[in-house]
Amino acid sequence: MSGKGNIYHYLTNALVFIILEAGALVMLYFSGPLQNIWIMKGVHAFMGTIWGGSESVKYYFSLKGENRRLVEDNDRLTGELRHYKSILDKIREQERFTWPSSDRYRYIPASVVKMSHNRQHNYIIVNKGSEDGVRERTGVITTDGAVGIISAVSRHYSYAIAFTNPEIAISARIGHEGAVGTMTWDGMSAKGAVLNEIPCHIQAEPGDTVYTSGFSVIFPPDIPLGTIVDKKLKNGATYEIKVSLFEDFREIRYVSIVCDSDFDEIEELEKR
Amino acid sequence: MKKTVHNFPVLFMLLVFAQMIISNYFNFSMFVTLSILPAIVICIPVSVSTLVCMTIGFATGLAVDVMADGVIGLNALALVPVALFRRMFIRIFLGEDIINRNENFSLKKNGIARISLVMICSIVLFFGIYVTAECAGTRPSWFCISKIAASTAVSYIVSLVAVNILTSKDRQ
Repeated sequence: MSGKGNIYHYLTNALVFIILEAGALVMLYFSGPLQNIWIMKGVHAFMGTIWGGSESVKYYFSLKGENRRLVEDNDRLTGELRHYKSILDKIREQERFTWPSSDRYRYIPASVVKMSHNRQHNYIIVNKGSEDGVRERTGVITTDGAVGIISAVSRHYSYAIAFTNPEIAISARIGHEGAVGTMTWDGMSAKGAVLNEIPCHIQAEPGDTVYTSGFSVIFPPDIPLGTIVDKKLKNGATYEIKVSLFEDFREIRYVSIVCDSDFDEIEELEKR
Repeated sequence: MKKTVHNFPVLFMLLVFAQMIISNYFNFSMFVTLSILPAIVICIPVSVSTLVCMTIGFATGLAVDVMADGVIGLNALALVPVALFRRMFIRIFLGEDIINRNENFSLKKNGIARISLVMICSIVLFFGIYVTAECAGTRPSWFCISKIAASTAVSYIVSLVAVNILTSKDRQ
């Protein structure tokens, strides 16, 4: 018998076998109650497998649409996430600095929009301007120290000269009640500063904390700035003290702008 | 040979009738069912095609089911696969030559051992389906296996007699 004939022969046998067995099962189904239930269980299991298989195939072919839907969902969720993140940023911005309530100083929370920290003359731009009550010659601070001084204000933004700029000098004190001097950036590292004009008879040891003195209308007193690292006598009369700043200028995101309510009055008094 | 072929249908029907009597009156135990049906299907001349053999098996099983007041379809369901695998069993245990030459086999010619293997395989297949369908998932597995084993053992002995009757003319 040829190959084709063989296949035909086997197929016929298989077909007749299936028909006869199906006939026997049908008769069995109608003649015995136990067999009835047993056959129905088998039929249900078989149909379950078939339908399950067809569902899997259907699922496979619907994957393209499913992927498109997932991409849309992803876009929507990313948008929502961005929205909630911006709300969270605003809340953080407001909650980050809780300064002691004072009649004299008002604190305006702000976010850093742009800043430089690799130049000799560094700057910071914050997202608060004249409409928020910001004015020139006000201080920019964080909980880790003085950051800069506002030098130009637009309606919605302010430009501040960063402390990492040779043009800025801050009045600083060793400890809460120690000697007062002028602190400037050392011009070399992001965390290095120099405190000058400290008389040589004053005790200043490495590890002592340096605070703002409050002897200006720009920064309030007692903001921690850094710790003393080293000191050396200069001109035989004053110490030049090296200070390591608390503030890391590369990581600043949120700041507070300090507005002194007595600013105008003190300025006017100075002019007389 | 011609005489054998002419006598075979009569002997076949007599043995089917005998099976009906066995099914009606010889119920030894719930663990044993005696059946010579697989043996008589296996003994259908090799020249008869599988297709015809399956049809004969189905009709025979159905006749026994009806006449023996059993569950209709049970013997038919179990006997058709025996008919389907009949040539395969013969080919495996008795050799390809019997199939190619369309020869009939006998206990004398092919030996009791080989014939027994064919018988046991077909009886196990028959009772495997028969007992599974009869129990219909209501009996534990050990019961089904025990019944298959016991029924195969008893039926094998009786089937040898049936095979001897159906194939004895070959010796002449």
